[in-house]
Amino acid sequence: MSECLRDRTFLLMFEGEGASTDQAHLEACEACADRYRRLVHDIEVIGQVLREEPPRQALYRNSRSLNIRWIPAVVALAFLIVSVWGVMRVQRTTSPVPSEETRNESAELVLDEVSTAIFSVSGDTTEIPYSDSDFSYLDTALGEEGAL
Amino acid sequence: MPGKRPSYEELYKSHHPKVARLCRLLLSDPHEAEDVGQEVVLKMFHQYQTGDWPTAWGPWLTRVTINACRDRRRSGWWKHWRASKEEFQEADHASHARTPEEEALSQEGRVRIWRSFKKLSSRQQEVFVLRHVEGWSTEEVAETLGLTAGSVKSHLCRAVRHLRKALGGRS
Repeated sequence: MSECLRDRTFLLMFEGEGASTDQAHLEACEACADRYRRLVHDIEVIGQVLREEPPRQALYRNSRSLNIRWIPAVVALAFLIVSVWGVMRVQRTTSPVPSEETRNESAELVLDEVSTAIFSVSGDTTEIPYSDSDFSYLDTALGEEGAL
Repeated sequence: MPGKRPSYEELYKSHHPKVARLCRLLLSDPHEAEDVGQEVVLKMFHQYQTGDWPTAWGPWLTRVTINACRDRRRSGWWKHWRASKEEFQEADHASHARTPEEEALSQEGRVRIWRSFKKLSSRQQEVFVLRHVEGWSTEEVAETLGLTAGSVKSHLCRAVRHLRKALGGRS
């Protein structure tokens, strides 16, 4: 006897397809015939159930499963918001806030420097300010070059 | 159309239960199913008034109902989400007398079948309903849904396999 038929073959046979060999097997094999009868019966039962009004429990489930699916996302979002808020709060408490006086002093200093630079009385605006330390570096460099 | 033309009341009586059932199967919310059912009935009324009658009202109404359900599913996904959270009203689903065959299947089994059916894709639901609930031929289903017969069979195979699992692990 050839191998027993697959469920897909039964379904195709139910839809009017299927090779003649499959048909012959179905007639010869009691196990396959029994499986085929069960398939036909199941389809009839399912069709009958769907012709009826839906049972109330069948309509309850959706909202619950939907809620369960949303819970991890909501928890993750809440955790993210709390974390960001916490980090911002910690940063704010650790960095010292300058007092009103300090801020005024630093503002005055900046303004002094800016006004000196802009309204220089020397008249030579291209002059680059320098310090003694610049010359010492230059001397050292030239000395090394001369030695070479 | 040959023979006596049916009155609108006759048409309504013979087709409204099928339209209502189709809407209930293809839409998850019973209130929405009722709304769409009314829309379809209204379309049937307008079509009746124009005098431009289809050759057969059954297939015409099925096509109109399926399209209306599709439109509703597309346009109101958020409404489905909201509706799924609403409390179920038992009065809307009064039980009716069952045949011995129906009684044989437990309430739990019926719930499993319905839940399983609702998990199918929209296309699989449409194909299964037309073929095994309404009892159309594969060719008629294919023509109405604009599919090939092969595609209908393929959808049916998947749907049946999935639904049979709800009947106790058979696939």
